Amino acid sequence: MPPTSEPSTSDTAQPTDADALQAEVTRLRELVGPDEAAYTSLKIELWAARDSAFGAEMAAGELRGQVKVLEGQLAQANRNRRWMVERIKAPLRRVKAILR
Amino acid sequence: MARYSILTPVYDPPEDVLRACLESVARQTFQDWEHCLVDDASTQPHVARVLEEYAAKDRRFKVKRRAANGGIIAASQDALELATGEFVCLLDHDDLLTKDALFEVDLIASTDPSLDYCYSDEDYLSPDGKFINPFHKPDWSPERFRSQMYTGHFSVARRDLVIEVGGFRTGYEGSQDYDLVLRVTEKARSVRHVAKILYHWRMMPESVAQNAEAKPWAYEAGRRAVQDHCDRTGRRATVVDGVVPGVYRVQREIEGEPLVSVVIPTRGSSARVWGVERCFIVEAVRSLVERARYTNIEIIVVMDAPAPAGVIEKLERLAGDRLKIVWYDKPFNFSEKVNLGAAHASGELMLVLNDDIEVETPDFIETMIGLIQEGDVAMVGAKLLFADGRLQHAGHLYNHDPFHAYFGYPANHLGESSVLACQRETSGVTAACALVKMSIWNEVGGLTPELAANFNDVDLSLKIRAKGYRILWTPYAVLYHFESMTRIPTVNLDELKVMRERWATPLKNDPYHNPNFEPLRDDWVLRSR
Repeated sequence: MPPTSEPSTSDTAQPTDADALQAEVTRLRELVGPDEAAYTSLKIELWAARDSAFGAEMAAGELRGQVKVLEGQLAQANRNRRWMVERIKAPLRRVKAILR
Repeated sequence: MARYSILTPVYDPPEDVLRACLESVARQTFQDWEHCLVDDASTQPHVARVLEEYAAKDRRFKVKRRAANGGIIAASQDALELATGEFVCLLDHDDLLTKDALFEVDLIASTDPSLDYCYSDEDYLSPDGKFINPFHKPDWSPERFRSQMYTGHFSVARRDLVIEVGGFRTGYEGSQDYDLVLRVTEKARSVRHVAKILYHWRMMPESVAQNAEAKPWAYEAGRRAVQDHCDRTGRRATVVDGVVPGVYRVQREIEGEPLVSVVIPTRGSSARVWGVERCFIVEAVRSLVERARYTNIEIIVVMDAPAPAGVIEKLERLAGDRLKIVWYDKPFNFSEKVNLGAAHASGELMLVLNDDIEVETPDFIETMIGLIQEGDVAMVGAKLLFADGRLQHAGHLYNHDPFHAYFGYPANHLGESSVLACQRETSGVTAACALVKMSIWNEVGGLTPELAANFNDVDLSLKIRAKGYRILWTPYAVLYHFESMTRIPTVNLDELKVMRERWATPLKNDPYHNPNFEPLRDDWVLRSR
């Protein structure tokens, strides 16, 4: 069999992954300027900022969660209080009814 | 032959404590009982004296004295051999029955001829004589029972069945009841629950009731009892300790490597999460591909047409040939979108997933598959957390309206009696992350399109349970769900009407909750007594 020829590149060829990646590199270079290290440091800054945001959200969430726990306990305490008041009031009402 | 034989091994209880225990039996309003007491060679002289006194007074007190101390299991087995009743009941020598305990059990036993095991709610008797810490339990929940010995006291079992399964076994000291009830419930035809406190568990200094660390060997025996149960029942699983003493995790091995079709409805929208802009569907798929360990998945993205620029390309780059895009060009209807995705699914299991999620536990799919491979389990839900770490979903709770249990509580909150630490049955799970058997999805007709936005997962759950299948929730499959905390859900009144017409009764009777808790709450707050 004759050797197959390499596919020829032409103006109508679809962009390859390599083309897309090269375009992305160009875009990023434009974004960060000529200093390539700046991109890395910006990424590190972004990760650090994301970690800070994550930590702050978690800390706020912990506090909000504790508030929810306390609200549940308060609801329980209020129910117990109402029950106790009713236990005191019921015999009082009966005594008052007898006295009338 | 008495209807009920109460079994009590006795070893050196204080006299007043023993008398209180015996009196609580003597005062039962239901009279057809015998109390089988086995003195395990007590050293205190008052024990024999008090037991003889009661036996002389009332022939229903049957007393046997062992020649040598043999431990609680040998004494319990001796008490079982003394018993002649149709049912046996377990009562510790320092605890109390409420006077209506046998009456309440018999209300059920007399109407359910197949009753083989029954348990009730319980509370504790503090050293200063107060009844505290009530434990109001769910109805029979076998998966929770594998996680935790929650049935506890008051336990009543058919005597023939107790004998058939071998009675009390040595080697499980401290968890002998757990071991016995596991074996009994494996064969029980009917297991019932009395949602009333029928048993007061006395808190003694060395008692497990007082201090969870008091008997570490009891928890180890419990773990072995559950492992034995799994081995006996053909569950390929390893039982390990849970997050608190007395809670176990049954880690199941998966049979085969079933294809899971992950169906994600999306609009391709973005929002800021943890400080950065996030295209939800892209990050959800990235999370599935890069963080989740299970690889035999197909990802079916049901996308509103047209998709935002670049989204499809990113998805294709991430998921390759595991990705199917299904276009949806009608007005928003969550149920229709998921049903459309399901129609394109080829897996035997389907994972319905919202796009605003991120995987936290890499083995979450394996964990859920392990549970759904139980024969009668149709659907499994996961633990979902808000971006701030609070609980978004820990199973549904139908408490006169549908709720997410412990919504907004801290992620590591244990819940009432450690309910949030247990794999367990639940009335329903959210469709934000639900693994469902495709065959059962088709059997119930998928999501109801009339419920376009709300309650479609509640409706699905209730349809599934109405067919007799179980739904499980696991705390070991964890994902973040970035549902807005500030969003006020807009409930369509037509949807509410459909729900109320269809499911009025089950929405008010959640078997995995308890009528002693306050209605219309997502947590377990006691009702006013």
